[in-house]
Amino acid sequence: MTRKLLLLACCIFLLAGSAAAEAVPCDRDGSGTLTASELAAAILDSLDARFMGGTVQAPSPDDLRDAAFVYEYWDGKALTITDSSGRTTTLTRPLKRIAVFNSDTVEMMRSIGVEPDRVVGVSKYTLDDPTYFPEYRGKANLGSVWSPDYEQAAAVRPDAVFLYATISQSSCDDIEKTLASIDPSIRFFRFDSYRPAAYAVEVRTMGLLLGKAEGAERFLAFHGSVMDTVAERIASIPTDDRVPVYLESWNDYKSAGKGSGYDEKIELAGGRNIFSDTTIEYPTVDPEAVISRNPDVIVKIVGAGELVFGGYGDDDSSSFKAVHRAIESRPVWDQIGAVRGGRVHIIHSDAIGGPEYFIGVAYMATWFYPDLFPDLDPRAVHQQYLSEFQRLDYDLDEHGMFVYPYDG
Amino acid sequence: MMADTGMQEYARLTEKRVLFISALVLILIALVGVAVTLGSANLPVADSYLAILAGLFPGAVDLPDRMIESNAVGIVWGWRLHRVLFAIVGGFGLAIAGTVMQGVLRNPLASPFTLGIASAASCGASIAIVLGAGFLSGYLVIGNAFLFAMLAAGAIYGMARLKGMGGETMILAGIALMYLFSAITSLLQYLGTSEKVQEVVFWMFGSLDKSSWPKLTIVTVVVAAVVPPLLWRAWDLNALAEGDEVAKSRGVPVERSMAGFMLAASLVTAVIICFTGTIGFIGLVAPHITRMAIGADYRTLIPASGLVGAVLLLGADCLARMVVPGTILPVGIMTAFLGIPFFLYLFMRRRDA
Repeated sequence: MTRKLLLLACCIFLLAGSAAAEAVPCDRDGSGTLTASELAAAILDSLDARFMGGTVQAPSPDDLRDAAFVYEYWDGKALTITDSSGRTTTLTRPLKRIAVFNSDTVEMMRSIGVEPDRVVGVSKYTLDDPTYFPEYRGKANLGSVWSPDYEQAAAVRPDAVFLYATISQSSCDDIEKTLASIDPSIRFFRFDSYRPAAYAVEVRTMGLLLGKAEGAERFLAFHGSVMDTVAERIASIPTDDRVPVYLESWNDYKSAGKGSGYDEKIELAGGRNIFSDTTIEYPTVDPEAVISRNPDVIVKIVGAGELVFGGYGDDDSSSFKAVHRAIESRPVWDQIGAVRGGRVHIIHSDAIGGPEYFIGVAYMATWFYPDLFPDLDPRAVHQQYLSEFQRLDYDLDEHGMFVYPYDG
Repeated sequence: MMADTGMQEYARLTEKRVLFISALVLILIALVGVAVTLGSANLPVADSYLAILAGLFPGAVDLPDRMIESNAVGIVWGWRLHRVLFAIVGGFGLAIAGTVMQGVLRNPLASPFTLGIASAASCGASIAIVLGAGFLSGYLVIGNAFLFAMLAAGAIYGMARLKGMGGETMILAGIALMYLFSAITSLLQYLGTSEKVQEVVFWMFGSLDKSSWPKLTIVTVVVAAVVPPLLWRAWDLNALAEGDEVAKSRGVPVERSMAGFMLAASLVTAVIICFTGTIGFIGLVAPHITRMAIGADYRTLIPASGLVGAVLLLGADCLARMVVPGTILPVGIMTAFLGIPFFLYLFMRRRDA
């Protein structure tokens, strides 16, 4: 009991320091809206105090910077925002010290142009991938959502912590509770950043939240140009005529059932998942069932589990070849339409499993309906994503292994 | 003459016990002193202690700017302190639960693990994580883990009461339950997505990462409520150790007190592991280490093995936080690495002698 009281006292003590952050800075009349004249007055007062020896009470440089941000990006008002978990947060100042547990969110932030120096800590998985996230090398290591490093997370003094919205919810809840008890002023935001259904909304919300609305729209235009092309052209194909597809993840015979991310992506690309009647998200299927359902196309995902190769750090195609050969030589699989027709395709999870999923959808669309998409070049989409939106100096013609076979 | 040697022997034993317990208390205090300074935030040692004082006497301590900058008070009070205390209370409780179970069942292999209680908790947690189903909304994982652990304990208890089972049969029943619950957990892992399986695996490692002040309070209250009656009835355990007949002849209601002891031990185990995940090994080893050191008199064995458990868990947690800089290994893994070689060493030495 005494301990709880002490904790309470401790919290009040800490809260006292952060209570000042409630109103929009420099909003002098307290109307809740920072007008142009209020901002101008604040700037003039500050100049007066700094250079003319004025005696008026001037805003601090921090307040002034924050006020300028609020005026520029949030129309001078406090921003009330709802994240993907449905939680509403009101902000009166920009987020300047962001800690991100979800590396897909790091990628999404990069897509819309968030400066890396606003990010103070990232997950172990972001740091483990210096080829793809070179600018985050040396940032504080927050661990993972399953095994977070609370001391690091608290020591970098984040003003906001970003977590997953729909996966690992109980772990993310624990992280929120513990970090909030260390520092009650931390705000929490939940974004998945890889789900096709929520993708555009998440990009827009994040753009508004971080003052990158323009970058978000620019990126969504690019994303939409790919997804809309695919959607328009497959729309004319009746459901019964859609190409039957067998998808296999990095474990042999582990497929994707109804409602899983890969099921959704096959559908977006115009295919018909032969195991979409399974309600288990990732069922292990009977090889015989694949033979009897006779898919026209097989898509195999590599890059995780027992098949860790390819991706950005690997230029060698031999492992892809071996996997391809192994699938074609499975007993009796030479009876399957996809094998007979030479339509077994391998794709790396870094081109389909995360925020870049639309690249994988583009690849699948061209595999499912080569005649419909003579002008769609998924590799060019991928290259543009890397060069223009991920701001990486990475040439897909020189490096990386993402799909096999490739005939570009 | 005979009586004299007996008295001397007893006096020597008492001295040994006092020595052993005082040594444990000293080690524990030293460990606490070290533990609160450890962590990846790299606070200077002095800052950690100053932060404790600042939390105890708000306003009375003048904090240097660098400590406000580093949020030292928040880190120490919001994270380190309850974790350290949780390690002590948790280790104490798990060790006592193991001691009591071994005493009641008169079997050195008995522990919350062998009786299926821990795997029942894992099963409950997996159901919450993978299926999102549970009884205590908002606290699905904790609620399920606790409920399933108590369910397993209740099943064993019920079988024992109805059929008047002996210790050995109880252990067999427990092992059977353990396999059943493990099979359910495996099935859930088979069905779950990789993220959910990951979460289940991390839960089963056992870790103090999820500790908090409210959880510490709950565990402390339960341990504080259960231990005094156990100590009060420690003579019953001594009598039980001599066999049912001896115990009965001394007026110990064997079945009833066996059941009571089992229930108390299960409750303590369940309330700890539902917060930490399965930290199993302490309940098995702490009683053995203590018995080797100071003998099998339950009046001292119970508190002393509790202290051994606290030292083991806190020590393991310190190591877990230090071994790989910047990461915290799950303490459940660390306790095994730390305790088992030590245990084997004691064991071998005793056999040689």
